[in-house]
Amino acid sequence: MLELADLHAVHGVVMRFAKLIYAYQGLFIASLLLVLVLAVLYALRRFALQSVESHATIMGSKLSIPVSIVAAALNEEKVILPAVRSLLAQNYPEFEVILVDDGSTDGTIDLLREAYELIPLDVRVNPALPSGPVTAAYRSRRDPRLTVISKENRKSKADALNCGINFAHYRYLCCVDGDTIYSPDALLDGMSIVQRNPSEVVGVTSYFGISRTPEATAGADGYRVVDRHWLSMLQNLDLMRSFLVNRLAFSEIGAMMCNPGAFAIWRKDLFAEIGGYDPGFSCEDIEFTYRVHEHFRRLRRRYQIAALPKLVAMTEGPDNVGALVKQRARWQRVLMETVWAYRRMTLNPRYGTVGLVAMPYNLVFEAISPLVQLLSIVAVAVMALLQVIDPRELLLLLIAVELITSAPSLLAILIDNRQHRDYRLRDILLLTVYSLLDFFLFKPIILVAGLKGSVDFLKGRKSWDKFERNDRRKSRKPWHGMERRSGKDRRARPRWPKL
Amino acid sequence: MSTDAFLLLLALGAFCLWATLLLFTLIDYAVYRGTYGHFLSGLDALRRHHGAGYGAYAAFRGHMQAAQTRYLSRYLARADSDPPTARLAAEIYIEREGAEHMLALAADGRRQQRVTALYALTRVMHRDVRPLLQTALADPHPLLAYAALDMLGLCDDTDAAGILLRAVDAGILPASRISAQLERFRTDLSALHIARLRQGPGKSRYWDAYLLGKGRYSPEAGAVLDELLSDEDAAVRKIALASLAELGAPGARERAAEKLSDPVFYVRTQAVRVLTGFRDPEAVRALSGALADSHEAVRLAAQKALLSIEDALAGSGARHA
Repeated sequence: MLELADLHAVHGVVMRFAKLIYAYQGLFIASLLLVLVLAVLYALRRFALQSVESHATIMGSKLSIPVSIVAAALNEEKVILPAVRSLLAQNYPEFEVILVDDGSTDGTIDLLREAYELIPLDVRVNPALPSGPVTAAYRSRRDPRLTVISKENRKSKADALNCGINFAHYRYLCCVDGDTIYSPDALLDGMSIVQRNPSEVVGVTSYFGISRTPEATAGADGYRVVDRHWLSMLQNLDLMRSFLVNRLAFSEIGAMMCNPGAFAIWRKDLFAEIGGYDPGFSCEDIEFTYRVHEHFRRLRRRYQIAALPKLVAMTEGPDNVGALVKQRARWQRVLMETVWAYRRMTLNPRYGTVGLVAMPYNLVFEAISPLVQLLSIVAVAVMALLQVIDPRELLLLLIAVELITSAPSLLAILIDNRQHRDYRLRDILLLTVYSLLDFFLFKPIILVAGLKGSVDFLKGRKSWDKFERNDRRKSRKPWHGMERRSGKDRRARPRWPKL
Repeated sequence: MSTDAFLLLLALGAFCLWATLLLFTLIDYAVYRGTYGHFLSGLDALRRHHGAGYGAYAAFRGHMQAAQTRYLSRYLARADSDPPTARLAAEIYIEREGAEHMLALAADGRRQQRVTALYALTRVMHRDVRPLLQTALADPHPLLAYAALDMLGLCDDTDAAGILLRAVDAGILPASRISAQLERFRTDLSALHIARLRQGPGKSRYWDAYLLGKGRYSPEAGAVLDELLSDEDAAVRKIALASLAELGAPGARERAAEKLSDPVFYVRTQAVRVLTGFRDPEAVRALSGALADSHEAVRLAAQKALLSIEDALAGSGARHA
């Protein structure tokens, strides 16, 4: 049994720790409000600019900058054809698609060979970026804009992308995933901001959505088809928060820290200046963005990495919690690897807003956040156990945290709807409900994944942990609510025989 | 302030923020629903999801039928509207307003009403619309005249081309603007231009020669342009040479080489440009001669041409390094 003195000591420790946790949460809420304000400012400016940007001018101009789309694919036979089709269907004056098959062992290359009539290509390239050996190169007879490169697998997407970049002809690159379906205007949307200021804009990204089956998202009536599976809804909300709030806010201060691999436009000369994607990291996109920031800030050169609030693609998300934890654990591990590798930038005034705002934010509210959240839960539980916190206070705290953490989701819905105008009212309301459930359903999963990722980082794991593609045998359609049955139908439903 | 009061204040503040955002989203959604922007974004979304085919047609038709008449009129009367959907909008607009009423408005309505009515009738290719467009083309107000010009461009047939070429002759609107519309025509207008050029040295022979170069090659077209190479107007000689090259007429290189001795320097410069496209020893020989031309512009053009030929020949071996 604990003595009274021991209890007092425990109480004191818990209270001191609780104060620290409160301070952290207070700082978090303040930063969140600031992020909301910055995101609104950036979104308003983008909307104003969009009203004068003309896609028709870019399409019709002989001066539009041509783009090389570089996609990496590994065992993507379930989605590769719709993905390539969506890339070749881009409304853009001049582009090429370079698809790197990173040593697939399924039917990816056979499907492509059959669908696009690939013929062997004898081409010399300048191996400017180191990559695994190329085993074959093909050009499509049906669409000469498509080049397919087969290479040996080196267990690194960075290696595959570097290989594709060696084959690229044009001044701008659009690095994409082989499992993502792109909207016909994706490239046009992304390049519209580049065309305005090509000397400064070195990188662009835009927002993409999540669906269990991204190739089946065409709406019959012009409204967006929202995958209403609970996990897809929550993942969608998470991506919306990340792209339509966080990235916009950090773009506003010139410190957008991740140009994601699913849609990343880069100026090609960067790869000559700072080297290609680094296969030494578990994931290539975030590290490369950090490196670009460091390079330009160190040289004090003007540059811009912009995020757009436009939905440019739909990608496949995990449809079960296990796969989601695996994916998010990798994201956490990658973030920690990169923050650690570039720790020299943190709080270094030489790197401007990147060093003074974005790096500390990533460290405090992203990298160590799972650990602090776990400690917060433990602290609150101990406080409740020791009866040092009033249940009413606990309830108020929960309500406040719940509402504040769902505010970015609501802002993201507002910006998304303002941008695209293709939501049904019921989808908006459903997303709003999920934004409230997010705290109880999604955050615990992310917490577990974050802790797993942190442990993996400490263990030094580097694997890609690609999640298995979702099952398409049932040709699943997005869920549109409960099927309505009449009473007669319900009665006619087959029942189990009585034993 | 006690912890309890602080937490209550925090929860209230959070609720206010949350409720404000939700309210904004819903108000924005509700207000936008009835606007012209909503009508346009609906069309865009349908285009994105359906592409082409009957499914798209049915969806567009449904969208148009549900739209307000004022949005239909605004959409169909814009020059940059997508032609198939604008035609659907016009059909539904005329169904609602009545064809007789439309014709009356197109003839004597107020200016904007005339433009809308004319656009609606043109989009559905109404049989009585051409005389009305011809009258509108001669209207002193530029809004109506340019709208009529665009609509005649949409007609894309020989009758409309005839009206536009007569407008060029009469000097009603800038010939370059009319020519830009005629360039959009898919209908082959070569016969019309040849017939006009054969009638004698007309005032607009420059534009006929220019537009003839945009069509398909025929021996008659080649012969007419050959004749124009000896026209008294140097601009006509220049454009005839350019059109001959654009049509890919046999003997264009020889004609260009001959024109290197034309008395006017810009005809000679055009000849240099034409020869650049051939990239063969004879063209190079002719261009080398032009390096000693008396006019600096011709000498410069010849230098550039020879350099570009050299680059092209050097680069043809390896595509990419």
